[in-house]
Amino acid sequence: MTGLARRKETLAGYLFLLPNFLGFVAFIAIPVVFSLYLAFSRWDLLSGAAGIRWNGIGNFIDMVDDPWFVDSLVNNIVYTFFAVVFSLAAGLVMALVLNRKIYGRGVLRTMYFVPYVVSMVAISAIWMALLSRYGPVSELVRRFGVDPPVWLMDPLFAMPAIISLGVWKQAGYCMLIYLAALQGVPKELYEAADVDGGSAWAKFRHVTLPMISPATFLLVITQVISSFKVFAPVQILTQGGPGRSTTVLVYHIYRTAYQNYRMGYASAMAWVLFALIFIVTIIQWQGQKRWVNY
Amino acid sequence: MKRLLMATLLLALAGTLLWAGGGRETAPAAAAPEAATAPQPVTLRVWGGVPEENGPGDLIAAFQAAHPNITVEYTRFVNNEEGNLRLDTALIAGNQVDVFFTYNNNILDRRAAAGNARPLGPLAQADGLDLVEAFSDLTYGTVNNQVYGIPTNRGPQFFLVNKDMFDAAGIPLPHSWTVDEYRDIARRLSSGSGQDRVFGVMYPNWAQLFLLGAQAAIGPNAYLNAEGNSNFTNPLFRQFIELRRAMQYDDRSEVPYVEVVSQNLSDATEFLTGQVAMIYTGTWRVRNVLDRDTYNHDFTTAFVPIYSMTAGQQRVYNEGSLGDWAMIANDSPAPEAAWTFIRYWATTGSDHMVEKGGKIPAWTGYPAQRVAEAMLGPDRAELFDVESFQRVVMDQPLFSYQPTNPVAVAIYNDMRSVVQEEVQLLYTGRQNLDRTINQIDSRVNDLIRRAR
Amino acid sequence: MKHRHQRLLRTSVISLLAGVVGLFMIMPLVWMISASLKSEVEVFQYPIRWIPRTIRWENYREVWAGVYPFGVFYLNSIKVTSLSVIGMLLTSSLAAYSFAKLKFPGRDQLFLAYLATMMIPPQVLLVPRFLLFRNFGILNTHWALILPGIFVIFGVFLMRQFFTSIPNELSESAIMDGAGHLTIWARIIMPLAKPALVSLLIVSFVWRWNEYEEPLIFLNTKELFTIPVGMTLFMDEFETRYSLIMAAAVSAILPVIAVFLAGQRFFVQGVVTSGLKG
Repeated sequence: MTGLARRKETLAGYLFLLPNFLGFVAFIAIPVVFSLYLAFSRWDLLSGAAGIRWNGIGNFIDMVDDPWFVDSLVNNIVYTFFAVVFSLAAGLVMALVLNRKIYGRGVLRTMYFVPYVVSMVAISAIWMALLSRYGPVSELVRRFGVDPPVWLMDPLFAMPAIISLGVWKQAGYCMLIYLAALQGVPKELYEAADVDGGSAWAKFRHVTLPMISPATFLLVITQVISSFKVFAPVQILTQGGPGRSTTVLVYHIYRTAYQNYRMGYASAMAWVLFALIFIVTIIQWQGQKRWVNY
Repeated sequence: MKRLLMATLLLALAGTLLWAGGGRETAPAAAAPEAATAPQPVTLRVWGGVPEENGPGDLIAAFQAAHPNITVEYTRFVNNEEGNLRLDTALIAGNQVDVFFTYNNNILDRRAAAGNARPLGPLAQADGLDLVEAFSDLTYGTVNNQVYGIPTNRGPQFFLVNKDMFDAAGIPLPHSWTVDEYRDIARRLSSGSGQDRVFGVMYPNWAQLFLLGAQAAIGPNAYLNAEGNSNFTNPLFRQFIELRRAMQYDDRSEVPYVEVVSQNLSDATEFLTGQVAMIYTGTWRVRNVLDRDTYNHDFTTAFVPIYSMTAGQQRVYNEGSLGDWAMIANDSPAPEAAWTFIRYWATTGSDHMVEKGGKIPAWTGYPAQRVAEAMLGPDRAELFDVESFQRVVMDQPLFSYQPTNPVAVAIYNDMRSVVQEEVQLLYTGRQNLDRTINQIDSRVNDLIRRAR
Repeated sequence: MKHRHQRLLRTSVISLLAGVVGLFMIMPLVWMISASLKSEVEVFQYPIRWIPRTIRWENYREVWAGVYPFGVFYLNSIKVTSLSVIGMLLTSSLAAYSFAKLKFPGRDQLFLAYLATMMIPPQVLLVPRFLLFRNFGILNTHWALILPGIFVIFGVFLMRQFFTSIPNELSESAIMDGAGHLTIWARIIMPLAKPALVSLLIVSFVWRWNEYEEPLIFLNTKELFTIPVGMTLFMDEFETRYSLIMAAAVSAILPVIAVFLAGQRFFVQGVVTSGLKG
């Protein structure tokens, strides 16, 4: 009986997976494996598929003394850390507020989601306006008697500006996922906590947070991945400057692949980025047992 | 339950079927290789960067009327990184392109060297066209002694200046000038303070312009010395980099680069709203001057050439060159028809590209006096100083400083990034001039070492 | 009574604060609308002039009735986006059920492999995909956009996370009653996962709707273009006509907002209350 049931379950498992798996192989796995091969090759895109030459680990050796690669890696780590922490926190606060009975809830939810859907050009225009020489941020600083820097072209402030833009854009998305997760928290749990006389904080700490931990896990993983792949804000706002202070890996990969046509080297860097994210993910995967409540 | 199962199975099936057999043939059928000998119908697939309504549409219509057996399908790509990637993927996929345009000299080198383009010498010879006579200078269209592209545009760069401001300050329009005169004039044209400051000059944010004066004095491959190493220790680079810094921060006569970048300032807007007296630009800005609906202005725009570093400088090289290279894909099944088309575009048909496209034909047979008339429009006497257009844009011979040496071509993009980064640090006060020059010098040497 | 007043006051204060933050969040949308009605000169003038000097409706006319078939781009976008999103919701939730609720050999390894492929930057997959699609014969067709849009790992991941948090007791009792897995998936799990399905629908709609590089590289024929590629036609190497691009972008954002507005009503607290043991 159990053997049969197990076999049935295994079969069901594969059948449920099948449609997605076929597409996964065709549209994702094959290109990914191809790019892995490219990482060990030298390929000038223009020479076509016939121009791919095996290069061993040559691309990886080149990275060691590539100043763009090294600096980009460091910038990526800084960006990812702050962007993930702040966008999750902001998203959670928004979701909690909007999950209460407040006025105009539906409209507010939509408003908070707006930065996630509008064009990057519009977002950067707002950021440029806020941070311009006579913009509100500069005026505020001037009120304190300090001469404001050119924020986006200052080695100290360019990265924080990009991070804050990233957080602002991503927060609405985190909010959306958290909102969905909050709908799954059974009311009975809160009622039970009420009976126990728990404070609002205790309810949050012991009921809400554990119940939405699968969503937090999802967000941490996907936000780490997408933050490591950050590109558009850098390309539009600073082009990696001043100096190399905001250069990030995908920006460097993009330039290498599309400006210099070095597909092999670009793929190799992408795979280093992959390895990095993968390690971080595995650590989180192992760690989830301690805090994710399924 | 059964219905759901069916739906799932159907979906899986559909996915597999589509994967296996779906889709359409992408390439429209091109004619057989021997097309040009008999007037058999031929379809040419042409990829260009100019929007169809800005000239190519008219040009193609006229061409088809004259060659009823040839049909032209025009695909427009945007001449930026993604747009060029789009063309390049189509080229390497094969059998999708017959004729394409290359707007960037160092991409031409790569496309030709990778075997995606067909040498044009034999086609021209068979057609009885002497390429050098027709286009004078084919330096940037030539790779390994083979001509791969013919130029369809002559693109000198220069300063557009607000002549009314020059007149008001009592400054005569310079016919040639040194950087010292330029600095002095820019300072005299600047006025006001704070948000209302009017600046003497503004540049686009291109990194190579941090080196403009030095490259214009030295010529092609300026950043390589005779031994093939970095030439950035040449004092001209130092002098010019410092000049641009000083004009932004000491004289405050140039719009600061950091403002241009961090506020996405448009030189067309700043110039045509009277916020700056001179902008460094090329012929593409002429259409903005003509567009008084968008840029309402009433001053006269004049043309001034690039400056020299010293009074005795023999020649002032230009950032621009002959360009917009028309090329034929190596796998085109109809090279003769393709040649007929690009020859038409570059020579007798080039007139269609002047007025709407803002292109100056590179063809030596084109009547030079017609350009001003077609390009500057019917109101030219009111909007432009036509004499200076003729002198600066048309009559002055065009010597480009763009790289020709293979190493210089290979490192060009990275060299620009290096210069951009180091000069940004100079402007933001993070390093001094000595260190800036040293850093550029040693990093460019690294790039050269890697490129070899 | 006093208690009620206090609560009313607190709700009002929170609503007010939330509203102020909301205004800050919609600034780019307001900017887009304002820029779409400006002349090119005014677009990037700082400080921002929110109300254009003269309102130029012509920008919209130029986008919709100008030289490019914007209406066709719009329909293409709707077609491509909705087909991918529907396909994705279906295949992802089936696969997620398998990953979350069924046990079979190799399950966790396979799931990690799924996750791992999310970590490769799409920029280096673009050209491999192009070459692959050439072999499939789907270049320059909408299939080149729809099919990869169906198989998005994020969808599987998100649905799996939500399915795992649905208590197993529900499905176990159904199995006792002799129900098959498809029934459980369709009758029990999917209805409970509505908020998750809705959020997946919204974010994947946004992604596919805004996808730019794939259609740019995979399509040649103008009549097949989607909106983001169509917008590049308002740009050339020396000039981007932001006023027109913004008019196009404002037109393009409406379906996204509509989808969000329609979807967000599923986020009402307390959907899941029945049958849980607390």
